[in-house]
Amino acid sequence: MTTEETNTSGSDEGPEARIVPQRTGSIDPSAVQLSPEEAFLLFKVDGVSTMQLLIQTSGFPLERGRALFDSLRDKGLVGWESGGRRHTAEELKPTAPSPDQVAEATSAEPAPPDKQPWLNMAFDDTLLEEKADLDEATRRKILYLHQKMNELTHYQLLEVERHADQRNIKRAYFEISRQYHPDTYFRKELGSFKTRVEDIFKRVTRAYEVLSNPEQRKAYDATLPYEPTPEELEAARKLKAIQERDERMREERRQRLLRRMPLSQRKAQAREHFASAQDYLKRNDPVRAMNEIQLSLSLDPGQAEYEKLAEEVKPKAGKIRAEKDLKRARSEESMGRSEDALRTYLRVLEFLPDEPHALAKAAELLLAAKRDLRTAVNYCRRAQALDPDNAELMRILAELYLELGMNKNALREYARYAEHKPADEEVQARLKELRRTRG
Amino acid sequence: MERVLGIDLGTTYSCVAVVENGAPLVIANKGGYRTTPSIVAFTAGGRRLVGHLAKRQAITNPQNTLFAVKRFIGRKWNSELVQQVKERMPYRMMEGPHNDIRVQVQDRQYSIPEISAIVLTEMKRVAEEFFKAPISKAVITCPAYFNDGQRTATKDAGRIAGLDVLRIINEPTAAALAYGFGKKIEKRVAVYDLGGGTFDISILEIGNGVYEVIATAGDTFLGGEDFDQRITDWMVFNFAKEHNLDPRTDPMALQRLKDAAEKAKCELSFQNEVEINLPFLFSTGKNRTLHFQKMLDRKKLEELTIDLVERTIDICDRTIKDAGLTPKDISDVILVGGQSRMPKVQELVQKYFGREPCKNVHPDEVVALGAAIQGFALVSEGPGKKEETLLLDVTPHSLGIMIVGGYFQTLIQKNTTVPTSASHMFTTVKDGQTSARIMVFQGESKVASENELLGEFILSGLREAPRGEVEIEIRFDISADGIVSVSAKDIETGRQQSIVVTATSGLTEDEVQRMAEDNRDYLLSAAQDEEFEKQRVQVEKIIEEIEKLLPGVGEVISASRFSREALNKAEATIQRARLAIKRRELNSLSDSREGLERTLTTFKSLAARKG
Repeated sequence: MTTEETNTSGSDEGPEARIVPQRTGSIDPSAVQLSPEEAFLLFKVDGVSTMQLLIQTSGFPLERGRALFDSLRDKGLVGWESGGRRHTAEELKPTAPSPDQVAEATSAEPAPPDKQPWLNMAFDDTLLEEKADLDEATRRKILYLHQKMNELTHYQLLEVERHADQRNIKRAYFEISRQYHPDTYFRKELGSFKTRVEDIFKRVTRAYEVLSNPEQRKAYDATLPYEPTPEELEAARKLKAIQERDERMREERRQRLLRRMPLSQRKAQAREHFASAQDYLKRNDPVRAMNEIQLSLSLDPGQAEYEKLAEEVKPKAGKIRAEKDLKRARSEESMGRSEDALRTYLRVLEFLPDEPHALAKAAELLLAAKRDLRTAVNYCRRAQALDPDNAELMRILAELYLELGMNKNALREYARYAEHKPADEEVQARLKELRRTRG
Repeated sequence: MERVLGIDLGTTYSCVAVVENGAPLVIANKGGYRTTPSIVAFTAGGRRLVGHLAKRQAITNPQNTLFAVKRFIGRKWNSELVQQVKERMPYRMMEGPHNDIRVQVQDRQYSIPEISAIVLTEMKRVAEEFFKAPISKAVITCPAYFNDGQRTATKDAGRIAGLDVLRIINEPTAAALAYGFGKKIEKRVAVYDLGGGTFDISILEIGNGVYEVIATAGDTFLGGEDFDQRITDWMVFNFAKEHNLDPRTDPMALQRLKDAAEKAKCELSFQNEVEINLPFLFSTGKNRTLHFQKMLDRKKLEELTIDLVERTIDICDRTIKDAGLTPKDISDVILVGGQSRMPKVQELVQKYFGREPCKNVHPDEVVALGAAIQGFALVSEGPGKKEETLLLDVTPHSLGIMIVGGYFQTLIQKNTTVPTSASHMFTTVKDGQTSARIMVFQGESKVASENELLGEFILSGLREAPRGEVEIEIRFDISADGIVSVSAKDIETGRQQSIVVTATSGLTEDEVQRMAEDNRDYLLSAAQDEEFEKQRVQVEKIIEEIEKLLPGVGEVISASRFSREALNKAEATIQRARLAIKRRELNSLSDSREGLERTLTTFKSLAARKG
């Protein structure tokens, strides 16, 4: 793969950045001839990742990847919307369940399938009139199934649920065998239908063989889009019920509150708070102003004027609070309340992401607490970018790497630190130790 | 609906059943027996005897009494088994024209299917006499482990007997069909079938009238006859120890020993000991006749035969494991075959499966009943077919072809549900190879030649290319009645060759046709003989009556000059009838009978006038 061929920047994205390929459920991939490359791509398709991501992570050049996807689409194994729009939830068939997706599956009401589609389909008249001891409905059904059988999954063919147990699979197979086992038409004149009936029986038997062998079934299931088990559906249903109940209770509380206070009164109060917010702003106190705006909004939600002001004031207020917090954190630290100090430094970084002292201190405190070490590394490196020659940062980073087991990086940072502080014997000793274990 | 015979063509006994008014029933022969010995004998006069009649005269006519021929059906003369056993048989066996087996009876040679056909003809006759109507369609059973050659030979036997053989089905499968008939059950069952000559084990899934064979295995040379043989050997050993003589050198003595062994074995299933008493068994040739007399108890019998019973359990265990099951997964065990009556067999089966075997089926009749049920299901039609029995049968052996190095490449695994098909790609193995010989084998050995060769053909006209470049697709198809067809296709040129593999039964199509004709001829002449005998008896009775009346009638009509002529005429008719009897002429006998009847009527009235 060459970098020129891969679009990584946001500006010149191709359509593949927006296309989300989906596996189509109707075709058994084992029944289609696939190249290893196609198969490789096909099994990466999860219904969520974009085509661009899939191609990038597959290592194919972009053009090759596009061509492979086109070929997969021609074979009917994947599909996507031409406009590149995200699929609607009903069309989504992800390969692994998230609670949402499971819930989606429970709520989606499938359209009732046409029970006897063959009755209204067009078939070759010569076949329907061929000399054979079969009535027309039977002929139509045989022609339909023979035409469809390689597109249908083993489950669809046997007309069983995806998670049907062995007993039901066996029953279904026995029932369908009664219709398509050649003995059903023993010594009957079947003409060209004879081989069709036999083919259908063989296909059905193949499906049964796979589904009745636990290992083969598992391997086969892996080739199909995911479908939640009845247990998962039940769990998702319960979760949804709980969420709905909580939502209902919140809504009820809000309604009770609103009932207690008439609308006009609420609106008047909101207006008062808004006025005092503007007052605070004039007095250059965005923090208090923000408080007032939030009160207005809770009394009269959705008011555009209030929301607009809130958006304006929020960063200003945040920044002022962050500056106050920075002082507070320092004093907390000096008082030895390092847990509180850490929390406060982290809050500072929310509004002042590049505050060098907060970055360094947060990294140091995280290291001491042995928490979120990777975040700490990030902070540390951001701080280093602002202050490249800070030896203390080098030492913290080195120790973070050591904690993470990234000894090579730790060695590098210790070495840089040692250049700046050759007198630190403890670090010298540690460097020696690290070099020895590596050698 | 047309009747279909279900025939259990057993090694020692055969049984026939028919589904009548929706229920399968076993048909008893004229003697009232529900099973008929699979024994055929030829009398000095060339008459055939079948069943009990043949069995009864076996001791006095051992060379011409053929039993247990099922052990040889479809086998090759040069096979090790045949070579081992042939010496032990009192009848003469020899090699046939196609490496098959023939038996010499008087001045004629018979193929094995011909002898089986005689038994089948008898079973057909038993049913036809019962229903007083001809029946020509049949389902015949064979051991599950029979290979295609043996099945074809069994089918040939049916054809020689004038039967339209709808299907050959496995004995244990038939037993399961009878077990589940008319019941709404969903069960996994094992059928343990220890018959006269063969042992079979089959595992089936039964689900409301559908029967799926999951696994089947067996030993075609292990059965009740081997148990008898152990007892016979024991008797011979004891006799030899006492008299320093081998009683087997006398065919008649050997036959008596065998009969006594079978009888003792059966009795030991119900009592603890039996006395075997064979007076005047063996003549020393020096005016001295030796007897055999000895007690045999159940414990001794079990000691003599325990390895045979254990062998059956080993086969059960292997089969169940191969099917990915354990004995616990079996919810019922059906015992079939006379030898399964042996208490030791039942004990070990119960121990292995951990449950008491099912007691509701008759071990000697259940197979024929099942065959009748399958026959009935095949010819049934209409909406009722939905509730009918459906059998999902399997291939008992793996099928494949010989590949380079003489190895066997399986294309269809044993126990695969039929109909089925499979294909596989092969390539050429030599540079410039332009033809490929496709040899089709059946069996489980990795070495092709250790399996049964079913047929071969040559795919020619391949493109000349370096080895490995030309691709050939070999495709196997097995139909529901087990017919195998094989095709080979050159992928590039599309050139295709195919054959229907008909395993050789040891007989050519012409031979089967001719034998069927011979059988028809024999039956026709036997029927004529029978009719002649009937007429003869009647005619002789009339003559006797006339001759009794003759003196009295003579007195009455001596008064009349004209009636003298009538008297002469009557005497001439009697003469003609006697001549017809002497010459065995059925037609003139019938003619004279009419004249005699008229004469008798006249004479009776004349005699009455006198009184």
